Amino acid sequence: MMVRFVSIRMARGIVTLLLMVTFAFVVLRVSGDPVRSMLSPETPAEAIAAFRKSWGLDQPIWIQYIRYLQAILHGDLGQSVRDGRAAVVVVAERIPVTLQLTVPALMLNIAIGIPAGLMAALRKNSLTDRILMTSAIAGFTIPPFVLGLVLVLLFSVELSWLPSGGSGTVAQMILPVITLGIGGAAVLARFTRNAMLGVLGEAYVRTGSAKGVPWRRVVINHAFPNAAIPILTIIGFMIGNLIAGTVLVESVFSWPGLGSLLVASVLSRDLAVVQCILLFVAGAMVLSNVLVDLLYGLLDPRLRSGADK
Amino acid sequence: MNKSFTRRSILAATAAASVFLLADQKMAWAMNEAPRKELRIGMSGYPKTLDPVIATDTAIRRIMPQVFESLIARTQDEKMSLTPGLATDWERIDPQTLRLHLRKGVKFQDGMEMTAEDVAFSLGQIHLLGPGGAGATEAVGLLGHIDDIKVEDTHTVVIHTKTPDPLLEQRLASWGSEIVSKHSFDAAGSWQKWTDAPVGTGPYRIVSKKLDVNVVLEPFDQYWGGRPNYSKVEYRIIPELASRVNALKAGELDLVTDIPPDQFAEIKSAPDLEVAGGPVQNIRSIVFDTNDTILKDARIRRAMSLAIDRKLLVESLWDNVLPVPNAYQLPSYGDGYIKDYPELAYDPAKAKELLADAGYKGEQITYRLLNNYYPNQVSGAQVMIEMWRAIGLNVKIQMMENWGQIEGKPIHAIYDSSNTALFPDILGHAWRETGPLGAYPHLTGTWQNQEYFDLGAKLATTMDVAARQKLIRQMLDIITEIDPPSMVLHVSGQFYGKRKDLHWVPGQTLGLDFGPGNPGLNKP
Repeated sequence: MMVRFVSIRMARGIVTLLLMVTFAFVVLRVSGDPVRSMLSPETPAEAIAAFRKSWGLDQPIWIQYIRYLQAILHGDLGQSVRDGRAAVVVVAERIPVTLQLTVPALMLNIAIGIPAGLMAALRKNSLTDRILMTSAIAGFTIPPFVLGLVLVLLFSVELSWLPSGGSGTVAQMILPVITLGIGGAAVLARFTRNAMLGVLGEAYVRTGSAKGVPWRRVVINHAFPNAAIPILTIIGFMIGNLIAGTVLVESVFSWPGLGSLLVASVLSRDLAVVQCILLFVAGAMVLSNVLVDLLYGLLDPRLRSGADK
Repeated sequence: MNKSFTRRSILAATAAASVFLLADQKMAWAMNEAPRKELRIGMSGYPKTLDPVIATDTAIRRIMPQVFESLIARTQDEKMSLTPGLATDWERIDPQTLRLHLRKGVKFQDGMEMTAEDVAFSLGQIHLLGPGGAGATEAVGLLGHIDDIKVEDTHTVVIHTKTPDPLLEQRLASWGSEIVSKHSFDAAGSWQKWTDAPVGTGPYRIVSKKLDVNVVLEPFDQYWGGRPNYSKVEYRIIPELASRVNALKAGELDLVTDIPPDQFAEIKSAPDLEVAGGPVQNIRSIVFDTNDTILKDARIRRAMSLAIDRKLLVESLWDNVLPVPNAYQLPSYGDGYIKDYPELAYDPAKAKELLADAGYKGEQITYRLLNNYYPNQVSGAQVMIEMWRAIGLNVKIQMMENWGQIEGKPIHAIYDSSNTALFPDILGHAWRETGPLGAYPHLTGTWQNQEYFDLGAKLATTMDVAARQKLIRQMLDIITEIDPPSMVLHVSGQFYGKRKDLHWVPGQTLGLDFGPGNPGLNKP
């Protein structure tokens, strides 16, 4: 049953979230004292002790952990030490800002990656194939941090066409979206090419061609839908990569999204905010993978019937 | 004299009057209504709070001078002399009592006039103890010894301390002593709401702040010290150095902070940009954990200090722009500065002798290091490792991620530190780290010296200048030669990249002052 299929995946997702929250809780506390990270090195000892007490950080770690889990179950994800507001509010206001980068970047991945991969597969070993795949390797190997700085130097510092950072306007989105989108498009192009080449060698494609079905129809109606399942899998993973990519890209472009919030919060050991972000990211990953599983069923009736069993 | 008015003479007079009035208006416009530009600053960190008493980190201090002022101000030259601020003058009644006469006609940014009640509130317990009355503020250590603030009239206050305090005037000119509006504090109803937009008397008021994005100020045109120069001051938070520099070069910012020397040439290569800044009232040092079996021997610590060629360090890493102080003190200390105190020696031969005397046989000394928390930190560490190796010391770097790890006990290592003078005196500077409630004895537990603590306690209540100097010299002897808790490297620097047409002059502290009182901005 589809309900059972979804329920099992959701249950796995909840276990994943619990493990992730526990791991983050332990690592963040063991790897550094949040109070010393929050306060200046010059802060008097009395002020440090009072701060520690007021945030419950003077308690043993296991008591802090139990209190944290209890609070989560009551829907309380804690308060930001840096901001004073509820961590969930601080994180929630950054989500749309990050989506402003990740959604166009994902669209850019798909709009460039899939057609380029298809074209390369259909013109295997041609000059077009080689140019596209060389570009894909280049796009994949340039670190986003470096690509971002190069784009800024070219389009902001030298040409003054686009702003070097900040947020709020479409012009400010262009460079970070390109930086975030190029690497994923390159991966998708290579993956699409390989998936299509695998499918184009199948007997049903040869049969279709032999029966006189136009090549365009063979590709669109028969080959591509069969190649789409592995492509969909990689797109599911790419959503996670995009969110991870924002950590670097948002830093380069001073984009006030989840990525830059995560960096600043980890550095200052703003535990509630870090854990809230990780919960959101893990939740998004779990959800995207469940959606990909469901889309498999839509694309491939064999998988759907398998789920029914 | 018989003179008739003709139509021509009336017209001429009218025309002359019009020209005069227009010229006058134009002058008035030029003086008061001239269009103002926005000032855009790129800085590396977001301020943790905007109330003056809670904390004093670099990001906070870069904003504070725009919003708040203290009763006594300082000249922003090397002397850092005391000068009238919100108090026009002050008089000592006795070693424990100071009367201050407040400047009249000073308005807060909420429109209320500043009175003695605001001063009593700002320096009083409710404000000093901070949120929840927990005392988790840095100002408690500075002003916690005030036991009474008497309001004599609306513009006169008398401050009384628990013990004689020769430095009370200095404390009242320090970070954390700024005056806030009692009316707005009461109206806010909670510390949380108050710290969202606290109210002071400075030339700009806080309009908005967005975590990790920006802090926006707007001019307060009723400012007593003159018309603010900018229509808006925006601090944009750009942690990445390369991004800050690119934004400056792209013309999106007027000034960027935290520029290390390796970026000087890059900034100077742009025709409309320059580097500003220099030494500030802060000393960089290396801390010894004297609980360590090797470092507990003062001879080893002295040898480590004698092995460092500080001039070479500053020349090679800081373009020779930072001074090396003679011990843990700065010339701005005034009467408390021991001018003839010996320079920090570079003497590898003597260092080797000390190691031999101590029976050192190449045991490892760990150097806990952060990845450039301070500018040039890693490069400096690598240079010093080689200098130590040259005298036979085996120092190994252990990279750490944060201060919690650096100060995680047991430390048994050396590590970097930087300390700002809250006020120019050994009690406002070295004592913050070495006093009994300072970082080393109280927080990290890396050092204790009862003789030093006794001398400092005596100094705190000694009014006589000669007696103070004698005590300070003895204290310097202990922390430099006899039982050093740390070794001084050099004075810290703060450098900025800025547009050449921004005629702003940086001061001697970490604070940035963009008010009309800045010596660069107040020129016509």
